[in-house]
Amino acid sequence: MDLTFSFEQHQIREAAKTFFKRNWSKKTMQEAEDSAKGYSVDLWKTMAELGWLGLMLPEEFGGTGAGLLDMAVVFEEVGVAHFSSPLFGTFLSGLIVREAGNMEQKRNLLTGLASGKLIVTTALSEVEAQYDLALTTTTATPEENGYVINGTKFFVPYANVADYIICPARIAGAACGMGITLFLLDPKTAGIECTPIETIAKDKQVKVQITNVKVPMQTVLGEIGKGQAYIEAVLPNAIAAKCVEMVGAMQQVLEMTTGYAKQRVQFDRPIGGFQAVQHHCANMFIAVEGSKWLAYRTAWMVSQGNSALKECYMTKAWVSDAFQRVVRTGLQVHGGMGLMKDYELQFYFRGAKGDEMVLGDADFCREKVAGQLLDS
Amino acid sequence: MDYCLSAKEQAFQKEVRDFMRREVTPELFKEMNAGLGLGPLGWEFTRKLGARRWLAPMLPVEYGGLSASFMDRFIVIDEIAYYLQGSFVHMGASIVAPTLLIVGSKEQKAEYLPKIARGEIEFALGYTEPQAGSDLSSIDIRAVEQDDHFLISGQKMFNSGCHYSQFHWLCCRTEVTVPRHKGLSLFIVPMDSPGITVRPLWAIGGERTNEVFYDNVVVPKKYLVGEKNKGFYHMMVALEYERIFTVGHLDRAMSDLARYVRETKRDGRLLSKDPLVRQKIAELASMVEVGRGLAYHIAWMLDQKQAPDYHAAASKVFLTELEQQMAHNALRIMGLHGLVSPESTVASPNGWFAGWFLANARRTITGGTNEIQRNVIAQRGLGLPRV
Repeated sequence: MDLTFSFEQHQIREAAKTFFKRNWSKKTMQEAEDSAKGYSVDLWKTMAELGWLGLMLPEEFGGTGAGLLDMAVVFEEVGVAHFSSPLFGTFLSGLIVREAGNMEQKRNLLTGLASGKLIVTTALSEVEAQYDLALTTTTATPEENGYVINGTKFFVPYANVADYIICPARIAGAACGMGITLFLLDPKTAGIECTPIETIAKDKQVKVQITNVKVPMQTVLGEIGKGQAYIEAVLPNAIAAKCVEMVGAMQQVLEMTTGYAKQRVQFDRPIGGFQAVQHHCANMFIAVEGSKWLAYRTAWMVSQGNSALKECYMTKAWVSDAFQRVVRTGLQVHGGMGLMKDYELQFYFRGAKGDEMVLGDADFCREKVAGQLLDS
Repeated sequence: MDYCLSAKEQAFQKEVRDFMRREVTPELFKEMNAGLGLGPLGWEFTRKLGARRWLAPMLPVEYGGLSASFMDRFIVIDEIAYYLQGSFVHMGASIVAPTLLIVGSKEQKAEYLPKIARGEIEFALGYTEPQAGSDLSSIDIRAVEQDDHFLISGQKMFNSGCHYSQFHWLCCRTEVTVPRHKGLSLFIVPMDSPGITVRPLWAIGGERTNEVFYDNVVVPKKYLVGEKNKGFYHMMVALEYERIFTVGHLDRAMSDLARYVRETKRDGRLLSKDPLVRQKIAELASMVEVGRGLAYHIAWMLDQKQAPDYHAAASKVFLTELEQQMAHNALRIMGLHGLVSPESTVASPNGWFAGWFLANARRTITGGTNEIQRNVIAQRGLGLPRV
């Protein structure tokens, strides 16, 4: 057993910490939330230079060909900083293209992704089929030399600034769970309407309505009917990375909370001296430690080529709930100060609720785990 | 980064499992779970572990150990926990031996370590008193120094191993004029010394613990461990080693519970198809993985020579509260059957859950209450002030 990070991972972490220290603060968090774009083009350029955008993409396309653990370290620091950008969607989309794309698609897309020229997002959820792709209702009706796509995607992150949206659609007439195909859609196409969704996490989610949009065969990413398989092959990376990002955020909330408890004085002493406050912080520590183990172990398993589906869903379930306990308790310890919009904690509090729902909420994930444990 | 045991450790784990499968009979299981401590089968099992040098594997080879790592030790006690469905730990091997190794005299090490390692002797912890629970500095039993011996008088409470151990690992007050934690000393006292009376106390699940009365017990000076008046600090040394908590018993509970719901119908439907049961099973299984991680992390830290004091506190809190939640939920899932005592003629094969529910009520209290553990996390781990 070796629970240490590699030299390269340490370097990645240091570079990330420096980047965020220089470029990210409460002020920029607020700016990202208030702006329509939701991210800084300049910072995106720097992220490309740091190698983050192509970290896991093949070198022949300008990436680094690194493994999931290296990427996870980036996401941990993203979480610590509560950094907003299209990074997660781009990371997931890049892996999908790497998995599914033919040579031409890979050449066109992956090079653009790695260099930061292209922003790509993936539309995993619909209004009803929120986490289960098999229930996708968006349809693709075969037509001369292509398909006509109809449907609505819900909570597509940064679709408003994306060059492409990877859109799962069911080939018309196919049964439930069959025929799901990935289409590479240009959101500027006539018939595609992107409407920003104002969320409590203010994380640039978008409703994408697709009405009678005719697309040529070339927009099919990979093979027809294999869409669900492609996404399932890649999903463990996304789940693990998201959990590590949540761990980063939880650690920062714990640090803010203990810092506050040490300096806030009431009844002639720091409130951190009161046992109730100490126990709150101790409970937060346990939640953080448990989450860190689960998230990094899962990321390690996936990086070793293990699909680790049970571990991914266990981790997402437990970390989602643990993150809620941490932000809730952290807010409580901060008292009135924690409620203020002008204090960083509220960004993490709202972000935690958003992260809880990404890629599967705790109940959905637990049902997946139960399936693994009880149904074979 | 690597979250797997090494090939050598995995081979050792397999060896230990093979041993347990052979040696842990239903009769041994029953005796060890009766709450009465080591009986004849328990002693036989202890000596068999000792013959393999697995009781105190971390001791140097010349004292009966294997100079093994913390991870190796964890592997052994975790498998014991799985097969015995409980975290039974030998006090001599886990607390006394590591302490003697550091503060014991040459003669004490030669006298006790090999016998502890071979499973020939066991020690009962002698810390708690009626007025000294979490606050060990309130220990009041007096050891008065007189020429070649100490004269010990006073009372101990909740000293669990005394009715089957050969020795009492006794903490006494040897000085009253100094701050309380600076006047304590540690002794090894033969339980058959004249003047010692042991009276049983019975806990909620039928487990036995004891009140112990010392009436002018003569304890020769050779039995003093370490320095006079430094006993409190010697006790803290031992705690460094008693950090590793097991998950084996939780794995056992999970697998028994999963099998139960897969095989049992309630109201016309398999329990394993009930969405609420599925949620609960998945939640508990996830928590077991967290617990496993916390335990492994500590073993790893210790082998890296890092002090895990507040990580150990975190794992103790988490694992004991999880244990209680598991028993509570197992009983709910089992419905009326969950209430049936293990000895009953209508008890199911899973009847041990009912006994476990009662027996593990203590776990958030013994071994350092979870409140104290949370204080340790907050103060030593997070730097919050002690007020």
